[in-house]
Amino acid sequence: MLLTGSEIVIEILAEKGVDTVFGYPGGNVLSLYDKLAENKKGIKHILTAHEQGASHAADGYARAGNRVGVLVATSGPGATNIITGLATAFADSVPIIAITGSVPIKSVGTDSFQEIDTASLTLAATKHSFFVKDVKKIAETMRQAFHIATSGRPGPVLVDIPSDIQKEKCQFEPIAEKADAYDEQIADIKSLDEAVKMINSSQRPIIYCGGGVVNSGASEFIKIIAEKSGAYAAFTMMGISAMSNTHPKYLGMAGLYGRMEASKAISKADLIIAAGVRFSDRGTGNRERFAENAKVIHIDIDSAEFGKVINADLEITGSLKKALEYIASNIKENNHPQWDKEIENFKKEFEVKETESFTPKRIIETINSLTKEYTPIATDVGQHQMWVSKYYNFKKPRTHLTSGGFGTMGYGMGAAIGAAAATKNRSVLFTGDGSFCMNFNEITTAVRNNIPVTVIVLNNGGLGMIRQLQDCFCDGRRFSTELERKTDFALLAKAMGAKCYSVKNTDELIKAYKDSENGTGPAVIDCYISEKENALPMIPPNGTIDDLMR
Amino acid sequence: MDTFKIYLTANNAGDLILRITAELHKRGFEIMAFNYQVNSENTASIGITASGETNKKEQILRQLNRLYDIKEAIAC
Repeated sequence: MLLTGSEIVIEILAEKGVDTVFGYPGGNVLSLYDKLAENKKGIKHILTAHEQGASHAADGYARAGNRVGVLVATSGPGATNIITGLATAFADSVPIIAITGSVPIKSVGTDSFQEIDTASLTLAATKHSFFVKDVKKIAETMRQAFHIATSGRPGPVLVDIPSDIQKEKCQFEPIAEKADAYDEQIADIKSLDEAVKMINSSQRPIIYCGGGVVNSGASEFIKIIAEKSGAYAAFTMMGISAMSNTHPKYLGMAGLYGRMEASKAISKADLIIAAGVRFSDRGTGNRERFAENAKVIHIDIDSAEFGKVINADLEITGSLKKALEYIASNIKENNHPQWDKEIENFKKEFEVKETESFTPKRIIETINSLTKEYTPIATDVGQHQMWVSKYYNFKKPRTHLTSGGFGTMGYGMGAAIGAAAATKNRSVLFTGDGSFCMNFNEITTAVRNNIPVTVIVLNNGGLGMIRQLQDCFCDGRRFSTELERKTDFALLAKAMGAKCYSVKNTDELIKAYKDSENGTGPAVIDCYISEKENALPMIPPNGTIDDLMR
Repeated sequence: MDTFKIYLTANNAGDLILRITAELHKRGFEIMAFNYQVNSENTASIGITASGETNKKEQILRQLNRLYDIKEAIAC
């Protein structure tokens, strides 16, 4: 059939099962929006307040929905506004497709209005980017983009299409199959057998789980391996939703702001089974001394991760799910009473004392008791992000949405919207007063589209994380980190059309959260917390558990 | 720091040079010589002399090998 470039884009989106796209219109995507408006394929468009919000919403949609997130933006500033979102998705291996319009082919290179070389600009923030110069290449390129985004280690892909190419026509052949069937890379059996042998002979094993465990759907095997081998499970921030924190083998997030029992266990282990991790500096601290008493088995779909930070004793490339399934089936039943005893002591050493006051821990645990096991929980970046990683009990994989690798303040609002759109469930965003100010404009998106998001602002009147670092490493000289609570977030939310609450104790919080669930749109709960609350204890950057700051 | 040669075979994509040089730059390598030869409409042979930390040689090959248009990256 004879179709325009824009119609072909929509045909491919439908072919790939996309039901929602996030975006913002502009001069160089007029044709694409015109065809989206015809809605022939039933694809819903969610207009965001800003292109950055669209990029984070596509990211949240992909993470929570386990599918590809799609966003549309125009050329120039539209394209530059999505770069932070692409970089966020790239750092956390999230499959999203960004479709941008560019100036017409004849204007390329003339510095015309809103012209920028988007494909080059996004090179460092995407798995791949395409600039399509021929309408006949659109179908092939779009299909390639989906393949690249979802195969191997997932990631964002950008397709830039000039506005005149969007309007040109060519023959289009639809493909009947909706889903691509990719060959999964299966790990070498010899290496897997070697891993089984190492696990069987270990006396102090730790499974160190990263985002790859969640991405590959391998969470169930972590539990089996831990229970069979007597290993304990520590996590990176991206892997935290792979196991419930009530499981006896759960140690929680390791690293700078994590649970210190997890970091201590890693430092004392004789074997680390690193599954789908990239050994981020926040997780490892001083990499020369990371797990210095242990042998390391590193399993990942991306062989480029091997030896980048930590040199493993055994590197296994391939599908994490298949590899962990094989290991889980072949390891012997084992237990290590001495290791159990030591771990118990580590837990006691770093036990967090309960208080009656309105602390971040209390707020997060209260919300935890009110949400469903499938509720998507988004965070922004800062102290609150660390508190959520430590205190929220994630019961299902893909319920934790956070910018772990790139650390993008302002990520959460868009992500929470995308997650609610993907799962059709109310999502919760934990944010701080600093992060909230970055992208609260997206509340208008949730209001306009009636998207259920409850925002919990842990309001400590400052940029808490940097303020904490200034206190620790700049002799307490605070600069540009005090926000002084001069903005009323509840009133701000009300002005944008959302439900709003200001709360100062647990009872008020429970009442407000329950009331927020009664509505169908967004709600903002501004929680006043003390500025003295810090993300402690912490291991200083490039430090070890021996350098602990309390 | 060490100097070594990297040989690549790849699809002759328009932005390929940019991707290769960006990857080398990102990983802290300096390019001392760069030769790009188009063999046919769809393939290219690329020879690069670069300096960088010896222990990162394997790493950069893995990074280059995972670029979409690269068919093979080897070093000597």
